[in-house]
Amino acid sequence: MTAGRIDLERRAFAAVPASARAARQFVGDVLRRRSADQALISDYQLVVSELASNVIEHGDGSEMVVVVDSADPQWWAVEVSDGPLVAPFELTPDTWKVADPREFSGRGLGIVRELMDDIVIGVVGGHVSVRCRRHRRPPHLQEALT
Amino acid sequence: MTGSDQNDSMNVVLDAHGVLVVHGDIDIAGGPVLEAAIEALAADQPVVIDLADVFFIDSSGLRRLLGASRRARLHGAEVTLRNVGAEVARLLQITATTDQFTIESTRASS
Repeated sequence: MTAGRIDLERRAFAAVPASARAARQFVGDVLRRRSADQALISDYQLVVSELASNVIEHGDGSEMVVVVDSADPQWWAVEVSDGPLVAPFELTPDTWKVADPREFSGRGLGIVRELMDDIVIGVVGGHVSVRCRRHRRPPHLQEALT
Repeated sequence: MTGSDQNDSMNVVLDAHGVLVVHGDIDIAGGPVLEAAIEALAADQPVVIDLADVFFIDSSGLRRLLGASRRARLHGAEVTLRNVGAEVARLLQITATTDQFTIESTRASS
């Protein structure tokens, strides 16, 4: 169950253009509280803006849900859904992959691909959900930790 | 003639020198405002866009800038970006679109 977890924050937004900014603000506030550095926050805000714009343009117009997950000390993860999240936001090592370019195209999603390490696209109950994550430390420091 | 277009999160002002001065985020909400301001200009005139007060842009905003660049080139003109900040420069770099514009000047991040 994810309810009550303090390392997982989620917020619903109306699927309207003004919500892209609100979603960026939400993600920025969460990551700032969790001591992420500004460069990383800026990248996540860009990623969430791209995903939110996709929902606003192509979703069913009802709702958009944004989740920030900091449960794993190695990663920051975000998820943007075009409706209520019907599946728990579970992160397991075998969940992640680099999404197939054939299902993940366009300039906006190309930006997400460029900035994130892993991207997963799921369709649950007719709702599309994109999860992505990036390692908290830059590559040259990751190796030093292992 | 000067004028302005705006929504809640951004606005565009055409200053006395014919420069489009943008204030705010160029995203899915602000992009159409910028696009309308660009399209109100004569198509065969160079377009100068001042981004000194732009601290966020995404692909929705970039699409409008690229549209302006294509339109200008079709008419033998070009789009010049002035006071480009790190956020805009980063997006241009990620998307390999820097060469679609003349970058007149840059500014330090806030």
